[in-house]
Amino acid sequence: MTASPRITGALAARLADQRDRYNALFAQARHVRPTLSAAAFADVLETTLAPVVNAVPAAAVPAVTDTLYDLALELLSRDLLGPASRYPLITRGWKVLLPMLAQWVAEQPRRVVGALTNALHQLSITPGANGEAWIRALAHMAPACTRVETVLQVGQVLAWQAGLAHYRAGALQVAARLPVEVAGLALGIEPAQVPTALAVLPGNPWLTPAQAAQGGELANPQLCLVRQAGGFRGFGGPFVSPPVAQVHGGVFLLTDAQATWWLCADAFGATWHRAETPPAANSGLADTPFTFTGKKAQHLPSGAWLDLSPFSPIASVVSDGTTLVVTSSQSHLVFLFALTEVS
Amino acid sequence: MPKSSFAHISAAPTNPRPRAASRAFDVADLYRGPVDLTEAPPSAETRLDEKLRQAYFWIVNNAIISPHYDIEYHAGPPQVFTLGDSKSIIQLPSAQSYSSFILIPLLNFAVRRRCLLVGGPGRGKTASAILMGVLAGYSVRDVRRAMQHGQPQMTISDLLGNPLPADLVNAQKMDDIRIAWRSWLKMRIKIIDEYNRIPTRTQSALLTVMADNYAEILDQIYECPEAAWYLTANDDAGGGTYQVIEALRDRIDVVVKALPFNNRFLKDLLTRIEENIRPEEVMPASLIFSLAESDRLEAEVRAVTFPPLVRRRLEFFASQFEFLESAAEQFEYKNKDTAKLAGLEVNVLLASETGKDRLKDLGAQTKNGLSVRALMTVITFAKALAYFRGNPEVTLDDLRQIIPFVLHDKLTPNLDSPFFEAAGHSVYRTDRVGWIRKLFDLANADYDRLNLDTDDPVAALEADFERGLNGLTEAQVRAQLVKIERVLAEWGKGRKLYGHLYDDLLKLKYLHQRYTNYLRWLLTQ
Repeated sequence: MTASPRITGALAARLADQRDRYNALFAQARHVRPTLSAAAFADVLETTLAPVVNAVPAAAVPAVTDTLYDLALELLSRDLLGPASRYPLITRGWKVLLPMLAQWVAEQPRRVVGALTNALHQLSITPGANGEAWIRALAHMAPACTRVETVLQVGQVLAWQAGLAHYRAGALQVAARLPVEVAGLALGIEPAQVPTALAVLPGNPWLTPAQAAQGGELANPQLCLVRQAGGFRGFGGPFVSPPVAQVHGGVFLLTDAQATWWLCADAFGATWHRAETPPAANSGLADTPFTFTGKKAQHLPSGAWLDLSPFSPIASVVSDGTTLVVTSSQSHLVFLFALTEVS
Repeated sequence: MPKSSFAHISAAPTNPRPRAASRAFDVADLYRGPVDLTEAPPSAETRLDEKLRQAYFWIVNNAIISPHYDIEYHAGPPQVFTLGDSKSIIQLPSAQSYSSFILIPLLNFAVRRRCLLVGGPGRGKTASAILMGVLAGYSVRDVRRAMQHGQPQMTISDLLGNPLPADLVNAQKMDDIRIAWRSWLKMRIKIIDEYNRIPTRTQSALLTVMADNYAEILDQIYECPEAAWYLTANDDAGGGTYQVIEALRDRIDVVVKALPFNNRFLKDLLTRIEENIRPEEVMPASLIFSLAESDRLEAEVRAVTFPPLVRRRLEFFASQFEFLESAAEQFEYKNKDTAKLAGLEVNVLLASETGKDRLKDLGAQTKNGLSVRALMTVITFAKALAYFRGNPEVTLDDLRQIIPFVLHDKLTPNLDSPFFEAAGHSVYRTDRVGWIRKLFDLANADYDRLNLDTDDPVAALEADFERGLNGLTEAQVRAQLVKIERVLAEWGKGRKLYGHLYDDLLKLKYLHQRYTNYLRWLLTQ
């Protein structure tokens, strides 16, 4: 393989300088995986590596090139990068994010690029996650980061807001450790509002940071459908049959004919995770502020109520104190209700 | 066929189960995925013996096609098959065994000695040496450029460097002359290709660097760092374009042969040609030894224990060869060195000795004995081999395997010995490694026959002596003297003098002299 005439700059110089070595690496990788395409790899070098390598300081070019070359070979071999990638988001992330984070890539090439690649992979495989939004947000925040650690922490906070709801608790803890200016940018609020938001958000998963920054009090609370999640496995959901809900330790468990899943849901998304059914799970509304009688669900402290007839026949109604989860014996969907502000 | 990169470990967990419901999610998991970000432990915690083994297996699996297991270890009785008219034996080792062509240079790398790779052209001698340079962290380009190629016009300046011309003109004294030293002198891996094509005068300059680790031109000295040396030659007889000077040959610590290519592995060569694969270009970075690791490696090798019983067997083996009864009258001079210095042929003197069983006498098989340097090298490489195998101490098997390669050029066979005429022994005329290994086996058999582990009067006297002389009374000293004299008298009763007895007798004389001197002092108190 020779450095394509379309590859210019520092990457071209480095490839030419270490031509034998890089060619040998490619040959060895192709020997292990004969379907590895030289044309596809050349494309990756030109469109994905070159912008990054050409953006890093000159002193870092050898180390960055070596790391990215190895990673690109590895990922391309596994169809995780390149024009035929199973997860185009990863390629897009490399093209958009890495040049913007060139300073941090130069500092810790494998750590930064590897971590971002893994994050892009998770966003790709999580149904409902918005990877593009994550890329845009992290690229926008790059100038505000002063260290590699900050970049990665911001990435965690943004990933939660991109739909990885199961990281909510951890992301809020990470946000609390960020400088308030950076945390404010990551949460989309003013720095002065960060302490209030971080105090309110853990208590109500259905508030956005902007709402939490106002204190989280609902002037006119109504019990509303805040999200529906799940679905039939044939249509991309997790269930083969209508699930039944339980709650255990504040965690919602949904069980169908084959498996049990736990549900993490909030204002930014919902994620599903296989689980073992615990021996003692609550299948009712005991010790919660909610009641369900006939077809009416009510939040006793506020008096807000909701007619659940449209969701009949009801299979299960459970709550963790903040969210009401309802399932129907005729639907593979899971319906989540909570108090929200209705203007 | 080049295999995939070294030892891929299955990702954990390898037997995954659904998580319990109460498990909390860790946001750090966002950055775990197809790219492994596991950090290697700090180098201070890296097990270097494991790294050395990894390097060995990477080389045999990816770099040099050497499907040989001539360094054989057995966990139990091996399967043995006899083939052909000459009853050639092929043995299937029952424990992990190694190719000497890969292992010996690697051990040399660990202990920073001097290794000679011999064999016909194109058998991988230079390639093996280059790999050692890459293992030390140098780029392939730097290793190739620093390699010194022996050729008949090679001068000392070619080898070591040149004085700066301006200094030569302007200098008022020798100290003012600066030398542009060759860059290879500062490297931790030094490769001399075809060293037997270097002119004799230049060989002397090379000897200074090899032996004393410094280079000298016009009174200017360059101190070289500790390095592992690799010399290559097409033959090990010291011949070539120029005869290799004895002192230079003597500085070689270990000799290993490049074995012929096994043509059943031609497919691997074909693949390399087609894929243009050069393994030395893609050695994994995790295998490379830093300077600190190389230093630590050498220290850890030296710390490997050499058990006393194993040491005794080495002593017994080594003592077989120096003794030559007819060389002198003075007992201390009765050795082959005396004869050589007098210009006499050792084999002629050996042949004139009667009364001893010349088949049984191991010393009759050699023209020389072992030097201190050779013994120290045996000990060092035995430790290195034990260390490589992950053992805390040297075993007899380690000695047996390493001794032939260390003594390959150190023990000169006396081909006139009747041993080589005996049935089945003619093969040892050409198989130097096999011959030395046979010598070691015969010495060990003799050791066992004499039951020296439990019945060694000299060892008992040594143990007494090592308790110290201070505080001994006159009676105790005289008792020790009597013990020594009694052993000598017993041995004097018609016992044939073989090599190991020579060393024992000199030791007894030494002990006797030490006690005698102490007694004289006691009597003056």
